Amino acid sequence: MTSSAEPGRASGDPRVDAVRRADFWRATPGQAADGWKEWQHFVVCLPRGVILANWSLRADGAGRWLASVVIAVRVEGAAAWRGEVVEADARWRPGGIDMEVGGQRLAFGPAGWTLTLDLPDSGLVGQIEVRPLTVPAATGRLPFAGSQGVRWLVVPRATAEVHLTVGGAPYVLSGAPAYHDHNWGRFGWGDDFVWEWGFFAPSGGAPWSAVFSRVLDRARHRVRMAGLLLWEGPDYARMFRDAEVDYRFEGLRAWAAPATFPPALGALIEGETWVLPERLWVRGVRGAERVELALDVRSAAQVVVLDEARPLGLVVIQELEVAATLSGRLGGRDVAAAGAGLMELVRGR
Amino acid sequence: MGADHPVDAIVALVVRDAPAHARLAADALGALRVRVHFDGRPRDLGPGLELSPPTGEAQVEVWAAPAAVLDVLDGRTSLLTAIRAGGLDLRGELSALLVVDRVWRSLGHGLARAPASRALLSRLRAGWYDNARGGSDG
Repeated sequence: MTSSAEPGRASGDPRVDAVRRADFWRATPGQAADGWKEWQHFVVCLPRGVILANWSLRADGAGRWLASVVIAVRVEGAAAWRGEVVEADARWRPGGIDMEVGGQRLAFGPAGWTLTLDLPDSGLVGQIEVRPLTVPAATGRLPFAGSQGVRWLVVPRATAEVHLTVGGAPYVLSGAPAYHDHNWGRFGWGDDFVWEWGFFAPSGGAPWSAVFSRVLDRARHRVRMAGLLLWEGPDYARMFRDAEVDYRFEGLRAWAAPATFPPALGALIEGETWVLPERLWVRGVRGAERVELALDVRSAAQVVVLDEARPLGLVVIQELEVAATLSGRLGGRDVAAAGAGLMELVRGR
Repeated sequence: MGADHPVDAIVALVVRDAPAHARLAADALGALRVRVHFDGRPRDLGPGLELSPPTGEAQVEVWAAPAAVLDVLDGRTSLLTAIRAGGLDLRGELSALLVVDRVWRSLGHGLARAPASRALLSRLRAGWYDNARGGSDG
């Protein structure tokens, strides 16, 4: 699993260069390491909508790599999500960031990432250019069930240029807030863990952005790790962790027929009412410093993954598009910002 | 003829590529006989996942319209909505219907774990019988 960053050419943007040095695929083509999973995740916040794009690799247990891309999009004015899960052979190279799976391309260049979507059956075709606005931050290992944990590299703040055709109509947007992370390590879907993760992207030029995450056991009785990280502009500003972080869910709302990716797996989780919290509060408190995120769910979809241990088990990743506010006091200064984001709640079935 | 029924294709694929799920389905089915009418064509699924032309009495009968099946698999509608709308119709005692639910889940999870199921879905999308017969003799 060792590899090296591609040297490439300096872009003139230290954030882009830092991504090029750090954010390469750890998996190498050829023999797939048992249990290995890795993914590059992108989210773009639209005005009342969101774009999710995820390139992933996993070992099939017989030495082969299985690659997939999940694309899920909701644009303003559309009640429905559209998207697909594409499974095909992947093309990538050691030390590189680029990957192509079934026509869906992830490419990295001097201006950042270019995501190319080619899903005419779902009415999604075009490109999204994502430029990092911070250097990538490496967090500690996420305590999934395995002993080694999973590594996580995050670019909490980025900006996107969207040039898509959505349902036959052009959809162009400049300067959309965006987010990226990259995870790799060994674990099994269905192992004894779930995560509750999300991010906050400010609107209107506010400097603050945030990422929050916690890992619990599958039954959600025990929190193994919690963190709330803040950036001011391009700079990492503060981290609250474990006992300093409090999650509180509020309200309940039943969602009818949430969009499911891949859709066919929706037929296997019928009959279970999908009730979600209406709001999540995430608070970080340390001494006189206090930060609070309020996240209101605006739209919901779910990505369904097959449980690797239980023959009739599923892991559901609820993707919740949120409107959010950030408030509090840090370093003797008041903090306030409004914006949007995404939160993921993983649940075993 | 019978072997060209989608139920035959599903069972054969799960037995071959997801045998643990085939065993779960067979265990769940037990001694029950289920008659599946796909696009108006009946086929029996019996103990041990044995497939046969309609024989005797079935404890459960399922009528499935191809368009309704595709709507469910493509996420355009839910299974329950398809049943309420009549695109899928199930008849039998409640206890037998619950057995069919467990059989379906076992086969469905097997299909989801079998990459070859994509070809089966493609054939369904192309029109299972229209494609096989050139759409001429129904």
